[in-house]
Amino acid sequence: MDIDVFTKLHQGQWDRLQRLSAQRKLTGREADDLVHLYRQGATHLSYLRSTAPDPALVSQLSLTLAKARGRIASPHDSSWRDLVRFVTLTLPAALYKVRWWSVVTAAACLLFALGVGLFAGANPDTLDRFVDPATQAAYANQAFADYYTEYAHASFTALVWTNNAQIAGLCVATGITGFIPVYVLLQNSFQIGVIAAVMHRQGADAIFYQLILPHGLLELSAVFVAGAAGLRLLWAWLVPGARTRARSLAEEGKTTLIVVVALTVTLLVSGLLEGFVTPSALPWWLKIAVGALACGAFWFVTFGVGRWAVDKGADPGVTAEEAKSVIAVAG
Amino acid sequence: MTGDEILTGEGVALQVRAASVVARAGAWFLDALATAAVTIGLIVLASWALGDTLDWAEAQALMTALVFLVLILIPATVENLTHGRSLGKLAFGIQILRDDGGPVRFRHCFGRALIGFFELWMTSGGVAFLATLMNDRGKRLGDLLSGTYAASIRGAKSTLLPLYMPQELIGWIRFTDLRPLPEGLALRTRQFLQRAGQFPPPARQRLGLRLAAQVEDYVAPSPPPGTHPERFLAAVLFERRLREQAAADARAPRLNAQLAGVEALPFHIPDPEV
Repeated sequence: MDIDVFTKLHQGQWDRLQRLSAQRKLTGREADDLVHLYRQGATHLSYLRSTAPDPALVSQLSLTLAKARGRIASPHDSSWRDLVRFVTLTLPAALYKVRWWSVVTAAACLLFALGVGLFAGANPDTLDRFVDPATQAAYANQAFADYYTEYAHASFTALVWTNNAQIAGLCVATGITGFIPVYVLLQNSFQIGVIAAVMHRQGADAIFYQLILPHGLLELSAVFVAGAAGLRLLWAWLVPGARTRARSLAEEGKTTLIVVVALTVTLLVSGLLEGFVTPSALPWWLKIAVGALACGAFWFVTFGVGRWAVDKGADPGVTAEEAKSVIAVAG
Repeated sequence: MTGDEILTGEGVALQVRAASVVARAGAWFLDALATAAVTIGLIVLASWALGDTLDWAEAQALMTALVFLVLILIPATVENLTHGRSLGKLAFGIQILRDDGGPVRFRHCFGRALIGFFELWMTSGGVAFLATLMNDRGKRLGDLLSGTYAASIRGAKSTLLPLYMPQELIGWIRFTDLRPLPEGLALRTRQFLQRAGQFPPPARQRLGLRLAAQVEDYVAPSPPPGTHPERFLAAVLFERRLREQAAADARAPRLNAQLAGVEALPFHIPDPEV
């Protein structure tokens, strides 16, 4: 059919489709019309494309249809049930997906910190060159303990939380570069090793572990997982497997973002521990037990709940809605 | 499927172009200006409301929270509520869509904003610029990780000139039998007439003759001897449109009646208005 005739015949429908997709509230009849017109428009487009693909008309009609499609599939408001599902299924599933990366990263970082600590402890000269002896003494006697009691509990918690969340977010946001997460992780481990060595040389081991273990177990776990999630992104990009590179990145990227959300919550808990439990007057073994419990809970969620969630079909990379639009590819 | 196409659930490929790098950069620059304005406003507001009451830890925490709010949370929320638009995107006709063409959700927006903090703000757009150049849909890293892309939603303007009827051929064409032209040929002829002025004369004549020879197969009797090929083509296209319009007008009442029958609810169930 002649393009002008075709356009004249259907322009009214396309205009109405455009008006309806821009309209905020639709009555029942209008909603029906929207879907009808959308389907007819799709038919018109396929007809045009196969017979008279005039570029301008194809492009205009495509946009009209894309808008209508967006309106028809417009985001329903997030319901309470979605939120519960997100917390109980999607979050643990995301942590479960990165579990081995987390374990390996954590092991590597702890080994590195241990190595630095042992080396610095065995070679006082090297340590002195990093941190001069007077500072070491002052640090062990006053500064390290003061750090936890200098500010009000709540503001200290806020400081530690925002700071750690920033580090975790940075690890993930820059994960695809590879070197920034590695740099952040190694720097962190290095500092821990050096501080441990300083405290050891000053004979303040007990204070060090009493002050760092209650919150450190959970906090370090979270930072390691953040680094691991970031590095995993690089891996998803370099080694996409049977998926296309873009799809691999998109799926793993979303998984990683959920890990960030999970870690932000985790770091809030560890910030609370650091602000309220670490400087409290509780006996030291109780503080460490609380910290160990929190850390254990985190890893239980990762391995236990995460496994259960994945078995139940939770997929952090693809939402139920997106799964319907995934195009099958041979691989 | 090429980078421009989105396949809908109906199996129809929509042609939605990805936004150009320049448009995206411009849109981001506008957004950055707006962000700067909001930031200054918030800082003034915070210092006016809080003054010197904060200790260092609180101030530091507030600072981090402010950066998070202005550079990540607000952009993500704006993009989510407007289904993938923002001030700059509005100005440059850009909308963020999912790879499958669907609307974006908060997850996508949040992911784009979080990665954007690194690739746009920490590197002044450098990383985003490089990433955009390196894939067929002009995605920045945040788009790659969220499975979205920036679509240009200003359609191409129609450039088809109106058809015309050469006066000297009216008498001939009115009593001429036109067989249906193959669709490709009709569109090609129309585009040729439109651009005829842009061809160098020899090529224009050669193309005109070739098209006229092809079209002549579908026309009987042939045009009067000595007719200029372009005027012949114009006459055929114009007459074809007239006749198809008449046919379509004759078909329309029946089609509409059928459609009304299909869309009505069965068993005389009333269709509620609301």
